[in-house]
Amino acid sequence: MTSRFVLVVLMLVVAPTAALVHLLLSWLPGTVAIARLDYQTQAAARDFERVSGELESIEKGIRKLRAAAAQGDRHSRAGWLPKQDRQGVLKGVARALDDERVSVEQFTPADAALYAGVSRSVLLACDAITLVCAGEYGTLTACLDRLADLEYPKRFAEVGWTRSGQTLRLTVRLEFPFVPDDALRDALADIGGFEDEG
Amino acid sequence: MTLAWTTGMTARGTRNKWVGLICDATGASVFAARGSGSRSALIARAQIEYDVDVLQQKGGLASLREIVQTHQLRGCDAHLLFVGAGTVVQPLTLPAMSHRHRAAAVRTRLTSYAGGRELIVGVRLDGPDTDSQRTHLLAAGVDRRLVEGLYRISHEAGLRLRVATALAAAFAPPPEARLCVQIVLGDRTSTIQLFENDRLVSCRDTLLGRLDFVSAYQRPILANDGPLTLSAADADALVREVGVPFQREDDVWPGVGAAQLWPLVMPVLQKLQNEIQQTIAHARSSTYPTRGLRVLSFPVVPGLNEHLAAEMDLECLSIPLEQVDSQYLSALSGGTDPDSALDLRPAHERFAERMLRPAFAAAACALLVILANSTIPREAHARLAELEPLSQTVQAQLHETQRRLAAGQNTYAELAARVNRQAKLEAALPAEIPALGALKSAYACVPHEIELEQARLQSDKPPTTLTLRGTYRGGASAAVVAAEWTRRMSDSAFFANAKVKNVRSRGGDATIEIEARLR
Repeated sequence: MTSRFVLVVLMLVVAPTAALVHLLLSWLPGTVAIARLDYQTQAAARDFERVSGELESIEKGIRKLRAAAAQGDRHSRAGWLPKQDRQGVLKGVARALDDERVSVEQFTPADAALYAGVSRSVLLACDAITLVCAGEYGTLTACLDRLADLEYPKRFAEVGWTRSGQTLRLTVRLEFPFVPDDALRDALADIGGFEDEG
Repeated sequence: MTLAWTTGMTARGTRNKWVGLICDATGASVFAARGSGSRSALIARAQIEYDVDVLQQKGGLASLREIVQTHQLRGCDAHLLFVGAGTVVQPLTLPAMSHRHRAAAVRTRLTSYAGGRELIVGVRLDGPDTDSQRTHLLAAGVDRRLVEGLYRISHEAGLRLRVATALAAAFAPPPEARLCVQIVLGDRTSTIQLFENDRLVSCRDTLLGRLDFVSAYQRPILANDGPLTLSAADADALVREVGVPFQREDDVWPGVGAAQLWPLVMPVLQKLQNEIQQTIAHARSSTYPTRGLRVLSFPVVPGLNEHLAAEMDLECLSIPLEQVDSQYLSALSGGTDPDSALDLRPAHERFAERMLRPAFAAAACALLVILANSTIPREAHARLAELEPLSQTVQAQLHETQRRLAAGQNTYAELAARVNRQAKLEAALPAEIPALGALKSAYACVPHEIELEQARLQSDKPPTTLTLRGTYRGGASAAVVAAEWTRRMSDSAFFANAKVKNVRSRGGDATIEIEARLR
C-alpha cells in the first residue's frame, strides 16, 4: 500500500464521511429545530386564526344575548317586580284607593304564593291583595283605573261587582309577581312539585 | 545478487529524472535517464539480479537502493517493463463480449501459458473487427509475486512507480512497413515481435541478448599477432562500436580484422536468426509473408539489423544510429503513448491511479460541503433567534385569545341560560287579562231593562270567564231579554262567546245569569 493509495482511500471514504457527519451534526439539528419551530408557529397561527374566528363569533353571540337579556330585563320589569319595589306595593294600592267617596271594607294582603314556574330554579312568587270597596259606580271605576295604572307588574286575578240594594261593591284580588329569594323559592317549588332543570 | 555497472555518470537533483527497469524473473536492467520522450539522456545503467522470493522480503534488494542513493534518484518516477520468464504477452482475438467476460477469458488464456501462476493481467484493445464481430487485443500477464515484489523494492528504494507494462507493448511498430518483424534486443532477453499493419500479431521472448554478443567477443580471437582475449569492458566496447562486422573488411580492433570476428559472433547470430525464423514460421499460418525487419537495442549493436535483413532476405528497416538510443529510451520512459500501454501495476496502484481524480473531486466536494455548512449553524441560530420571539408572541396571543374565548364561552353560556330562563319564565306567565276593559264593556252591554246585581271575573283557572247576574222586571219574556243580552256580549271585542247560564223567574221578576268567555 502506498501513501497515494492511502490518500485516495482517505479522500474517497474519510472526506465524504466527514462531510456527511459534519452535515448531520451541523445542518440537520438546526434545520430540524427551525422546521419544528416553524411548524409550531404555523400551527399556533392557524389555531390563533381559528380561535379568533370563534371568539369573534362568540362575542357577536354575546352581544346578541346581552341585547336579548336587556330586552328580557325590560320585559321582566313589566312582568314581575324587582326586589326593591316590592315594599312599595301596599302603599301604591292604598294610594289608588285613597278617595273619601269610597269605603274600603276589606284590605287583605295574603302570604306570598306561587305565581308561575318552570322548574325549581325558574319560578315566580306573588303577593296577593284582596280588596272590597263600596261606593258609586263611577268612583269605583276610577279606583279601578288607578289600580290598573299602578306602575307595578300586576295581575287582576279576580274582579267582581256586587249590588246590594243601593250599594255597589267592588271585589278585586290583585297579584304582584316577584322573584323569590332562595328559601321562598324552595318552599314554593316544593308546594308546586317542581323538579330541577335538565 | 550482482551489480554490474556499464555506464557511470552522476547528476544532481531529481528534476526530469526517471528510472527504467527492464525486468524478468531473475534480474533487471536499470536505466537512469533525464528528460522525457525522445529527448531522454542516459545518466546511468546497471544490471541487478534477484530472486522472486527475496523480493518478497522487506529490505530484500540493497543494490537498487544503492543505485538510487548514488545517483540521487530518490523520488524519481520508475517504469517497469517486463520481459522473458514470468511474463506472457499474447495477441488475442475474441468474440464480442462484455468487459467482465472478456477479462475472464483473457485471464484464463494467459494463465494456461503461465503454468498456473497467479498473474496481474493487462489488456490493450487493438480495435474491433467490424466484419466478423471479433475483438483484437494485446494481453499481457506477469507473475503477481514478481510485480508486487519489484513494486515493493522500488518503493523501499524511494522510487515512485508510474508505469508497469510489458516490454513487447512498449515499442511502437515500425511505421514504414505493413508486415515486419521487430527485435527488441535486451541485455539478456530479447523480444521478437511480428506486426501486421499497426497490430502486433505475434510476440515471442528469447533468452538471448546483447550480453551474449559481449560474451562471444570475450572468447579468444585469432588475431594477426596471435590469440587475443578481450576483457569484458573491451568486449562491450567492441559490441558497441563494431557490433556485427557486416560488409566490413577493415581492422575493427588493433590487430583484428573484421573477418576474424565472424567465427565468434556467428553462433549468436545463427541462434537469433533461428529464433526469428521460428517466430515467423509460427505466425505464418495467420499472416502474409513478412517483408521488413528492424532491430532495437540499447546501446545499439551496429550491423546487426543489416546482417539479419540480408540473411533473411527482408527489407532492412533500420533507424539511423543516432536515433536508436533515444527511441529506446523514449519507449522505456513510456513516452510513446502512455494511454495505449498495457497497465501491469498492482491492483491497488491501478485503483489509486484511476480513482485519484474522483478522490480529489470527492474531497473537494466534501470540503465545499464542510465550508458551506460551516455558516449553517450560525445562520440557524440567527434564524432561531428571530423565530423564537415571533413564535412566543404568536403562542402568547393564542393563549390570550383562548383565555378570552373560554371566558366568552362562559359568558355566552351564562347569558344564554339567563335568556333561556327568562324566555321560559315569560312563557310560563299567566296570560294577560284585559280585566278592566272586559268589565267595562260587559257593563255597557247590559240591557236597560236589567239591573245588574253581580259581575265576577274569574281568572284563577283558564279559560277566564266573566259571570254576570241581573234582575229583570218587564213585560217581555226573560229568555228573550237574556238572549238579547248574550248577543250584545258576543258582539263585544273582549269576549269570544257568551251564553245564558241560568234564567229563574219568581213572580214578576226574573233572575238572569250569563257567562262569557274572554278572548
